[in-house]
Amino acid sequence: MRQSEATRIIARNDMRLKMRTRSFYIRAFVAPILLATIISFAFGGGEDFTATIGVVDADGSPVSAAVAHGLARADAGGLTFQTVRSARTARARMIDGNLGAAVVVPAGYGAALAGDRPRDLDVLTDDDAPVAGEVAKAVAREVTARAAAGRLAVATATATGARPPSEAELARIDLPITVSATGTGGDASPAAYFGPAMGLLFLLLSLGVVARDLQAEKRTGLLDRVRSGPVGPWAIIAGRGLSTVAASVLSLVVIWAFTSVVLGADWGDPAGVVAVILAASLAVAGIAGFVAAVARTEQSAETLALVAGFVSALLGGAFIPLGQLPPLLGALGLLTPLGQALRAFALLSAGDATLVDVLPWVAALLAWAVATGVVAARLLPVRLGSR
Amino acid sequence: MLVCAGLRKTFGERVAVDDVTFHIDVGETYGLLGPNGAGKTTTISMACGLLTRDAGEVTVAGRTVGPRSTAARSAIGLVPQEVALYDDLSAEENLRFFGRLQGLAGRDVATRVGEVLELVGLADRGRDRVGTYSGGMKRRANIAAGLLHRPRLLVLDEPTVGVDPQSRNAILGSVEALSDEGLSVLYTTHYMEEAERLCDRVGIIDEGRLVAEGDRRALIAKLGAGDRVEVTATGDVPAFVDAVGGLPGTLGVERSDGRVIVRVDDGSAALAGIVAAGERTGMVIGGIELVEPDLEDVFLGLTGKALRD
Repeated sequence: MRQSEATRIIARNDMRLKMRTRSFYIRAFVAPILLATIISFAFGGGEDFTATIGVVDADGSPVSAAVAHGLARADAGGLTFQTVRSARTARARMIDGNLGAAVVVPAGYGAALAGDRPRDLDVLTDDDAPVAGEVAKAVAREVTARAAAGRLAVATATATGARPPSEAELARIDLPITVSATGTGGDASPAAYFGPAMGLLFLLLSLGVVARDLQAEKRTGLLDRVRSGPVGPWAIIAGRGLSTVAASVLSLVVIWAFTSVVLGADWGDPAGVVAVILAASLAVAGIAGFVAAVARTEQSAETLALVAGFVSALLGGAFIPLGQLPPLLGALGLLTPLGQALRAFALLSAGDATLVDVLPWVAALLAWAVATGVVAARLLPVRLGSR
Repeated sequence: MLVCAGLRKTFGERVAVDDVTFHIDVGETYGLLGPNGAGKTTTISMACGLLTRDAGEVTVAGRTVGPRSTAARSAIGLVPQEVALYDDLSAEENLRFFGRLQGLAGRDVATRVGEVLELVGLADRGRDRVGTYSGGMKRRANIAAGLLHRPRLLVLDEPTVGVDPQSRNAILGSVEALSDEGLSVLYTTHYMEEAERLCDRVGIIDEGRLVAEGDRRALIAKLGAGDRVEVTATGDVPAFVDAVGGLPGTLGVERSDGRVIVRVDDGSAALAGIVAAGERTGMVIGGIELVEPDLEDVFLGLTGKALRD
């Protein structure tokens, strides 16, 4: 018998066994879809992000009035800015749930801007509305950056002998502000991020299944029965790897279809999505083989898989997008297969990225697949064979 | 059919199999008899090419067997000690999978699956999930999987462990039927009665070494223990013991738990003389039993311990 034929037979049987197991449906489809749906609604009902942000002019100067006026006219998609009398009122309205956050132009802001020591804007945030808080901070940074640019222009003009502008003149300068209101990049919907995130999370948490099944088959003699035929160890490893890739692809494609049809998510360029799904599935299969190769018992396989899954999930941005993590953790996250895959998915779902743009991330995932697959290929025949 | 020569396997410091040599002729049923942990499974794992050996050679039908020799392994049908089937699949699905892996294709798969299910008496339950089977049915399906590809040598590793007497009898009957059809069989067990019923020759294995080999008669003769006549009687026991000790063919006499145990070279021939000695010494004989030595006695005599120790 050709070993490729044995590989096909083993892969098909392995898929059939998976499809007969209720836990496979829960891990591959039900749990990730449920979690992705819940988290997506928590981040905006699966639709565009919306929030109301208060603007408080505590300075009362012409400059601060101009800033408040500029913010009220800001082009911010689902964001609404509302003028509020005081910081205290803004805080009360945040507690009532009428505001997600507030930007406060502090007293003395206008005078400071015209003087030597400019002040930053204050931002009031609410733990119950973290995304609105992040947006408010982004708005404040934008205003501060524009003010700094303005001060640089004034300094340059006065250095050439021009008269410095008065506070009233500064106030007449138009300050159009543009705000990008998303935590995941571009105009991506939460479902387009958390769909693949939850799918990959559960695939990583299931890494130990391959190892556990192999150990159980060794214990019960099933592996010996397979090996007693004209089947080489490579065919057994390749067959298992093939079925793992197929199951991972199936899981992610179903989640893709569900989040697109039901939650209205747009995962982006289909060619790019397919490439990332394939690369991520190969990486999952490689890591699963690695876990099976290094685990000596069913229990150690489960433990190893859980640790790998959770660390990868936390670092890789399954629950918190990498952009919202501290820089060091964000950089570490991009070294994980989950982080790499999610960055690629985020780029695609932002709208403009295509297959070419995500090729570096696809290559990184394939590197994971090759590195772990090589280790698995070297160690697994020993695990399967002599004791 | 099978030649194992000088097999040796160690796991760390422990020697699991040490210089084991035996052969099985075409159509012969050979039993490896020994207690748990004696090295039976390790020996057959090497014989089937599933385990690398530290020393020794194995050939099946003239071909050398090893972990990479897939062609030689095709001649072997292995029935592992545990039930090596997928619980979530039906018996038919299990058998189709293993049949295809063994190289069966097309209609031959379905035909052969039907034949082996018929052989083990599971034809009417073939479409049921194996997980729903009783222990005995699982064991029979386990044997069916080893027969799918028409092997020339069937290797059964303790196939009746943990099954009820009825299923055990059915399994032994199946093995006898296969042997009658000319299949060579390697059968490991720690049940003396199974070895006596099935095997043309028996190898007795203990602590990794083959301590004796031959057919039942030869092994018993090698032991030289003779038959036992156990007499339960009341009266002048010392006089009776003296009288029996002087009979021709008596090898020894001893008293144990109120019985007199007479060892003789031929039990049937000695019975009449023993009864007559009892009458002469005024003994009232309550019972008399002729016990022929079995493989248990042989094992005890060779190793100093019981098979189930």
